[in-house]
Amino acid sequence: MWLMPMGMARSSTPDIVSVKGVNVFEQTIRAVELLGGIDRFVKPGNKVGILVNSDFREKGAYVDPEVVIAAIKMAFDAGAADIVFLQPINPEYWTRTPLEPEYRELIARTREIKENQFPAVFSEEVFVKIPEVEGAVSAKDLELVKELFEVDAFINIPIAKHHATTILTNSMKNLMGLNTRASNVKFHLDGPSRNDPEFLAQCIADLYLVRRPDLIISDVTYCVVTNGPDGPGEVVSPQMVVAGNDPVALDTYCALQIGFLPEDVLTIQKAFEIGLGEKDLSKLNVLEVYYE
Amino acid sequence: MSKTTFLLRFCLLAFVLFSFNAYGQTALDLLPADEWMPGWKQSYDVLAYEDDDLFFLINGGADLFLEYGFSDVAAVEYRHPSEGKIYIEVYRMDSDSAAFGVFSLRKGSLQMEINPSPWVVYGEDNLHLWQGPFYISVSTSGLSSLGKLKAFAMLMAHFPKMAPGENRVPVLFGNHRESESSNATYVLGPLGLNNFYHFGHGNILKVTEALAITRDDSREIILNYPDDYTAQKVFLSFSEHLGGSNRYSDYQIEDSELLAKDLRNNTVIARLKGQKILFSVRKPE
Repeated sequence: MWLMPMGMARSSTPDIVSVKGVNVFEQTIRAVELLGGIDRFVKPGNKVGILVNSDFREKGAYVDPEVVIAAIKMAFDAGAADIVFLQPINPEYWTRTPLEPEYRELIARTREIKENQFPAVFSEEVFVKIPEVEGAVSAKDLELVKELFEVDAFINIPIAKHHATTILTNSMKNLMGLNTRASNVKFHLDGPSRNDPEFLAQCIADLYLVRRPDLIISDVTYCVVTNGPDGPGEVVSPQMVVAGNDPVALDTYCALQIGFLPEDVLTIQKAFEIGLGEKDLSKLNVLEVYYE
Repeated sequence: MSKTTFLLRFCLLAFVLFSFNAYGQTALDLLPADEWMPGWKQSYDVLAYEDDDLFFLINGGADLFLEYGFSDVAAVEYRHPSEGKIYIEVYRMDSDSAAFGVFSLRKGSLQMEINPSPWVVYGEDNLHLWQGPFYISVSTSGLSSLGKLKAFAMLMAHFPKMAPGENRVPVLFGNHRESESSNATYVLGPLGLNNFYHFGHGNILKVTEALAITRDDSREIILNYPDDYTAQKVFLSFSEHLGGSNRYSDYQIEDSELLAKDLRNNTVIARLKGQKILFSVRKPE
């Protein structure tokens, strides 16, 4: 195993870690280690909530399951008492990696919120209504998965890929998976015009104010860059797993890796404006390594 | 009421009813009934949505259907006790062109079989059909190869029977269908264009319709305008935009041709040709 630095971080704890290579499972482990280790985010006895973009069929449109398996392994190793997927995962999803037999038992120890399955209809048992969000510009009357507010650690696992309206979907847009469909439809339709990109981006940024993920692990290994979010489309393969907890910085970095201009991604601009993070990567410590 | 007035009214009513029967079917009308093949029944109530409520059916991509011009959808799963499951979505779009557009978009690079009607595309477990204003998506699970063939053949006969008529391709596609039909996507609106190549926010290219052709080493995008003057105006405005954008480097302009490199190091070439702007986005060698 080699870890060769491709860029230099300026302090001991980087803001973003990017691990390039061809072993997605190990890259994920290394990315979190270099970010300070899973112990920084998950403590013994914790309840951990994980949100994964898994609900697509085309490779490059869903997170590589090896990223998720690595995340749950790390969380259990750190002493997590309970891991809950805040959106259900189709059992077939796990079979998309040859690691599935080895980690089948580990996967079986996790739970999921089955009711948050598309089209995710509101019920008081599963969802909670949030009429106002402090600091939000546009989002209101949200209906979010209740367990989001019961977890000690929240891990967000998106894939960086194309979306026709938002251009990039990654750490910020992925949080729409916490909403009921009715809530998400408001993001698309309650703006000044139908499917208004500015309004949608603002709502997505506002959603981040409700519960900020403690850790983001983004799959930037093989990504659909046209005809998103479901593909099939043109793909690029930066072969990177990227970790951090600043959504603005992470989405900016990932956008560049898949050939998108951060200026085109309105969620980045809106989130920066409401103070969710830094979009100027030169002000951040970005550690880039190659794992072999 | 005179006899003539009565006859006129009767004819008008008959015409309206005839029109409704020929062209007024909703998506729901087209779904096969239970036992369309022996033993196959709907496994839950049909999901039916109109207009913006499409977001309740599609997770990712509803915005594109709306951009093309969507009217209503009906979706349901059929089950056979021992042979498997078939899920069918019938979309009624605002026009034949819109239905053809989403058909060409959703089929990906699968080879089309071109018939007077319907046009079909087969995947391993799925089938896409275009019939008049309808786009139909079929996916199967657990069926044998023979079972799939039988089901697909039944459906290919069912939909034209329910919505008779010959398909009319958009003129822009028709002009290029001979050589490129399997890889061409008919694009409507700026969001549709974004799906192939993002030129920046706002409708910089004033796109209403386009044809996107995907090849191994390049993408060609043909933007069609109402007249030469409009195309020329858009081309000039785009060349100014290109020169001032950090999206491109190595920018060159010569007469009616622009050349630049984009962020992924693709070579982007734009040419003005009559009422069209022809883009070529070539991958780096």
